[in-house]
This record gives sequence, C-alpha cells and structure tokens, in this order.
Amino acid sequence: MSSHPFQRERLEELLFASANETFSEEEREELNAMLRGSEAARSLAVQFLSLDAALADSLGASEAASLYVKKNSIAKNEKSFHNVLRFPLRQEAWLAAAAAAVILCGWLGWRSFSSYPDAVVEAVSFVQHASRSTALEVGVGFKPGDWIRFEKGRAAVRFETGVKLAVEGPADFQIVSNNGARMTRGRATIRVPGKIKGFMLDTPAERIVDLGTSFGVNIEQNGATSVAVFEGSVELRGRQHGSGPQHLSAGESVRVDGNLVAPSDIPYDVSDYLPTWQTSFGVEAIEGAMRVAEPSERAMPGKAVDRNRLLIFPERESVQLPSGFVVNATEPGEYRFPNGLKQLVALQSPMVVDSYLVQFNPGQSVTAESPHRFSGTLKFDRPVVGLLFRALMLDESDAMLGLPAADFGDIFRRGINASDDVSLSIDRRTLTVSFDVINGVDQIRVLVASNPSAPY
Amino acid sequence: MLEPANHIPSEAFILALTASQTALRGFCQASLGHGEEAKEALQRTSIVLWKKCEKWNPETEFLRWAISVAKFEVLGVIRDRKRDKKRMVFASDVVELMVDEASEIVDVISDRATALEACMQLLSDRNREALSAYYVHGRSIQDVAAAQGKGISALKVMLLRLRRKLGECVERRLAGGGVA
Repeated sequence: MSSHPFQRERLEELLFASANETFSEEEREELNAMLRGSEAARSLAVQFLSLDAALADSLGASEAASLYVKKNSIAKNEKSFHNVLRFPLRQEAWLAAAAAAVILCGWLGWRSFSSYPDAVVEAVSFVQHASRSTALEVGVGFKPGDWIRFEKGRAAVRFETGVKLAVEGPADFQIVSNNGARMTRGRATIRVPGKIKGFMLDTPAERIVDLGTSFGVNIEQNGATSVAVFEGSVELRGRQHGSGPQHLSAGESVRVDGNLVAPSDIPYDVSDYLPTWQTSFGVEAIEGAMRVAEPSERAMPGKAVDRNRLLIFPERESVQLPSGFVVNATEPGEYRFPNGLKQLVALQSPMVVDSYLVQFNPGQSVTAESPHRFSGTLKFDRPVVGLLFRALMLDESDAMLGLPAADFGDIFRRGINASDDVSLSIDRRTLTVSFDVINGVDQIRVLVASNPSAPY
Repeated sequence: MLEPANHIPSEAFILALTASQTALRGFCQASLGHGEEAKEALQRTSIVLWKKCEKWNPETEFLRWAISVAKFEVLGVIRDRKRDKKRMVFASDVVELMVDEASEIVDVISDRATALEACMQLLSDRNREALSAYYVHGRSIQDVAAAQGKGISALKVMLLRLRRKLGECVERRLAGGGVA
C-alpha cells in the first residue's frame, strides 16, 4: 500500500468532525482518501478513535459511580421536571451538602401526573419558608442536624448506608446521623436493605431500632405513635415509660398514646402505609390498573393473585450487572410482538440496578367474558435502563435479580406475547404496560438505575 | 432473529467480557469510525459472545477470541450497510484497512485506557463536563457550546485541544515516564 504524506492536524480535525451531524460529504471523501493513502494516517486514526472510545467509557463509568448529583451547568439548562424544584443555594450550603449524610431523592407532591408541577411548588414553598429547615432540592445532600418539613406530598430520603426513609406529609423529621433520624410528625416507611442493621428512628415516645427490616411508623399531632413491622423485626426502647425493650416482628403492630404509657398491641394493618411503602421503592406514581405488591406479597409473586390489577414486585436492589449483560431492550420506545420483544441487547457498560417484576396473575384462566386487558403506567424516580420480556430471559435472571428465596410458584408461561404492549418514555422514567391476559400469566422484569444521578 | 443463550455464563466469563469492553469498543470504533455502525458492531459482538459463552475455555485468552468475533461482526455491519445502501463514515474498503490496523493495537488498548484514567485526573471539572456532554451523552457541539457559554468554533478548538493533550499525556505515560 502506498503511503502519501498527510497533515496530522487536518486528520485529527476530520476525525473529530466525523462524530458530528454536520460532517459533510466533502469532508468524508477527504478523510477516506487520507486513510486509503497512508498507513501512518490509519495508524494515527486507530489510536485517535480507540482513545475516543476509552474516553467515553471512562467518563461514563465515573458518572455512573457517582453517588451525588453534582452541580452540572449543562443539566441545569435542561427543563427536566426535577429542575422545577431548583432554587438558589448559597455556595456554603452547597459545600455542606456535598459532605452530607443523606440524599433527598424524590418529591411526590402530586395527585396525578398532570397536577405534579403545581403540587411540587406548594411543597417546596412551604419548606422554603419554614424555620430551621434546609433548602430542598432533588439530589441535594443533608448533614446531621438538618430538619425536613413539609405539609403535603411525600419525600424519600436515601441514607449513605442504603436505608430508605419515605415520609408522607404533614411531616417534620431531622437527620441525626448517617444511620439515624428523629421524627416528630408524619407517616413513614423505613426500609433497611441487605445486611445493614442498627438504624435508629427516634419518635416522641419510642426509639425504634432496626434489626434488619422494613417497618412503618405514624406519629400524630398529639405525639401518639403507631409502629407496624412489615419484614424482619425491630426493637422498641421506650424513651420515658420505663418498660424494657420490646421486640416486634413482621406482622405485628403497636400503638403508644403518650410518653409515659407502655405500647399496646393493635391490629396489624398496612393499608395506611402503602403510599410510603411505594415511595420507598422509588415508584413516584401509578395510573391505571396497577399497584405495588404489599409487604406480605413481595417475596411471593407466584402466589400473589389479583384479578383486577397488574402487580409490581420490588425485587433485589443495588445489583451489579456487568457490561455485556443481555436484556431485551434498553432504549425508550414501544415494544410489541414480534420484533420489539425478541431482540437482544447487551449493556454497554457495567450498571448497578434495582429490579422490579411486573405481573398479571388472575389465579385462574380468564374467560372470554371476563376483563382481559389491563393497562397501567408507572413513573420511577430514576431511569429505566433495561427491560426483560421473554420467558427464558426471566428464568435466567431470577437468581440474580429476584429476591432471595422468592417463590415464583409454578408459573409456566412467563414473559409476554402477541397481544401485549410495553412502552418506555423518552426520559426513561415512565413505563406503560398493557397486558392481554387470555392465556395465563404475563410478566416482565424492569431494571432501574439504583443511582438517582445515573447518566440518562 | 437472535435467540437467547442456552447456557448461563460463568462468573469468569462475565468478568472477562466486562474487562474486555473497552478494548472491544475501541476496536469497533477504530474500525468503523464514529457513528452508529461501531455501536451496532459492539452490540452484535457482545450478544454473539454471550450466546457462545460455553465455547470459551477460561484457560485461553478471552480478548483474542472476542476480537476474532468482533472482526466478523464489523464486516457483517458493513455488508449490511452496503446492502441497504446506507452511508457510513468510512467507505467499506477503508473499513477493511482499518480492521487490519486496529488488530495490531488491540493488545495495548487496555494499557492506553489505564494511562488515560490517570491523565483525566488533570482535567478541570468544567472541561470534564464538556467532554462528558459530548462523548458520553452525545450532545451536539451546538448544545455543549451553549451550555458552556462559548461559540461553536471556540468549543471545537477547546475540545480538540483537550483531546490532543490527553493523547500526548497517554503517549508519555506509555513511553515509560509515567509523568503526565
């Protein structure tokens, strides 16, 4: 092969320009001629382009690894819904936030999707004018001592340890440490995933110590406190009533009517906690025939039956997937049988995800007369990064993404089929599912980035 | 249409595939240039590797095997593009030349990526943001220029200069100095 002289700088300019939509046909011909004519040019181009690929990999990986949302002037210029919440932070406030213990990762002050922005402004406005409260912003960090107060809506706080605290207003709570909080008003779900233990929630009447669990707490205006344990167990340590520590296990519930009164058993009822239970999994909103599985159903998708609604089962959290892990879809769009559902896509970079199983299981064959099409829309507070539609893909990923010891029952026709539709919105937060369930159980698996600041 | 793998990949396979991603991406991009073709070739390669996972002997070098698959998939992409009469950055005859050239440097792509990691520590946050917006998020020069408060020409010059500095830093490190 002949080797013609070439200008190094011009070659680099052309290679750089080739990534742009404005790359012209004349430039393309010039670049190709240069590469045809010179081995040295090809060698330089290979180095240039492979370095570009490494650069994209490295920058992408460092963003994915970041736990905190950093100030990003480019992102700030976008009119994403989260930015509706932004208001000025002083520099020192930002610096404090950078070292903070927790992250506020979602505000849910809406009644429906359409009323969302107005409701959020209400919630933020209240907090902004409350005494002793920090400025609230999605993604901003808090430090021990910060109070969070609001009248309406829900907020989710993620502690560095992985503990999730979802609160429904009116609420007043304070960050005490990276593994503890104080609450004087509001209804909350606290989830302590994995092997973390020892999270402490102080209420006016009790100190609640987590022993590996999820639980709900409701503190009324007069200080009366109710506690319900969903999974695992907690220890109650009365602050003033003098009785010894009390062990409370899943399915048990107590109420304390005053500081000097020992807890008394009450009927276990999770219904009032379901909104914060949902929020604690980052499901911001649901529309249509769909609900999040209750605590008692979560580990038993094979046995959870609902003839009228699609069920969302939160599965494992913070699962590390390698690049090359194959799913059926990673991009926004509509997926229908056959092509949209059969494709395979490999993840382009390692990801840390939370998994959700979406299912319709009527428990018995649906007759021609009974309703058989169910649709629902769910909105996550983080981007959806992968979807699994096919039975074999679901089977192969159960061990990695399903809850440990999850009971998938004897469901034999997983995945979805010719009459089903799934669509993912452009911003990757909203998933719409429409299942036609004449033939057995439909299931898909949804992978959501664990990190709220995942680069999407 | 492709079907899922019949075998569950071993942990060793997943680790090897993950460790090879930068080299595979570099090979595909070096062979096909910027554009959708390189992404498509990488995706096809990953899927084929995943489907053939049981054929890899963990006692043999993964990257060599993976690159042999990637070469085939790169050529498959240009064959499909030619059939569909779609324009690519590189003409098909140039792609074949670039595949040969890229094969020569596969062994050092990982070393270059490691050197790059160290060199990137020297970037300011603002420069990192600009590079990230362009290379990771695929924003247009116009968008990045607007976000950075610069003119389009000025941003092009800035990005190209940053690219050159990083490239020079990588070469210095590979030359053995280890000094950025």
